[in-house]
Amino acid sequence: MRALNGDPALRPLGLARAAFGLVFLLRTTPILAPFDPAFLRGTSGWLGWPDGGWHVSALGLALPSALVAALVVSRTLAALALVVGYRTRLTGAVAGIAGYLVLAQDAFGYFHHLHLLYLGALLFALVDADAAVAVRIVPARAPASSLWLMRTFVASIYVWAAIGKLASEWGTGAALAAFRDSGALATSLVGGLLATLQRCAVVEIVVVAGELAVAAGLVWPRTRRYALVGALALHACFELVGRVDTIGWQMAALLLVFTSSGPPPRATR
Amino acid sequence: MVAASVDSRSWRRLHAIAGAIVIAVVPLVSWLDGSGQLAWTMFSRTGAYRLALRADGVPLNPTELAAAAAPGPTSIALAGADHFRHHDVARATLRRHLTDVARLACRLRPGATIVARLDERIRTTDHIVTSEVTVRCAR
Repeated sequence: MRALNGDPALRPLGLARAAFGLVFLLRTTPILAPFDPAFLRGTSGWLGWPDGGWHVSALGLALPSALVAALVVSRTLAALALVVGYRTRLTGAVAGIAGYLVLAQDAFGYFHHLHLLYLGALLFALVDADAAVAVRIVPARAPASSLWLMRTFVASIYVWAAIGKLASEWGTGAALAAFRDSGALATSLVGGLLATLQRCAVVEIVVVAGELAVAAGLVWPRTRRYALVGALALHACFELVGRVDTIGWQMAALLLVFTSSGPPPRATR
Repeated sequence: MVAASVDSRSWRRLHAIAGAIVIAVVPLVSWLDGSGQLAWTMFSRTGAYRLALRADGVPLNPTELAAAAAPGPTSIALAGADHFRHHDVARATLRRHLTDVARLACRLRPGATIVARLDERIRTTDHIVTSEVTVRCAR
């Protein structure tokens, strides 16, 4: 058990890696098919292959079908290794690179959550993600900067999301009204809340303020616990109202890097 | 001991460089190129697009093309695109690959001359910007 737990100070990183790997695996394979999630409908379940539809490659990077199949297999095995914590520097890189190469086969298949999935895997390859909660523990090389990198990356996503909104129509009500009218939002849940332009404007301001508050709260240790709760609540709302694929689950997994790292439990000493 | 310290310093440096690239450079560059695709814009953009196709001057509905492209994300981006649709990533991708979409239409109208016209609006209040490509299909 001690071997599996590894460095107690890096347990948050190990937990985040395992959870993120699990979301990666569930999003890119047909494991969840019995539950009929929206992202698997009309697909084989293996993200990117086999793909019977027409597609155009991004950046002119068209690969032969057999190679894409091999990349999908590699991506899946690497994601599995990320979950259990086996050679995560190698497997994180394989999962991320194979993911991006498969993604590049279909320019219209690009979505933010897939970029986050592959970039996240690459980042876990760079940090001491296998120093705790792993079947093959590797001693940490730079624990403080590993945690710093992952934590800053997660906080930056909220900052960029807020910057994007502040630089757009958010705050006028036009953005949420447009999404509402296009059917992108679950109006059965929030139809009343977004019924008028003024109400949309208020909700937009609250969302931007919430994202900035989460980012700031995560950075300071004193407010981290409240920011974590706020972030999870924000993602739950986005998931219910915006039906934003798996990005909420990915962020929930990444947010585990902010959980407190304490000494190992007594029983394992 | 010294080797471990040097190793640790190298990793710290690598983390700092990776952080700068991933946290600042990539989102910023993506922001500046106008698409914001790599900048975690998260529902902030209200970009909309509309696609009009003509084969030898006769209208071709993008939804018909979507059926030919199915299954997959291309089909989803094309379906119903004869009216303005809100999806900023699809808008930016469609502009980059308008010629490819016109070539796809050749599958439905071999030998025809396809004109693909994309109307875009970055914000709901912006003027419409139009791009157009013409492709001569092989028989």
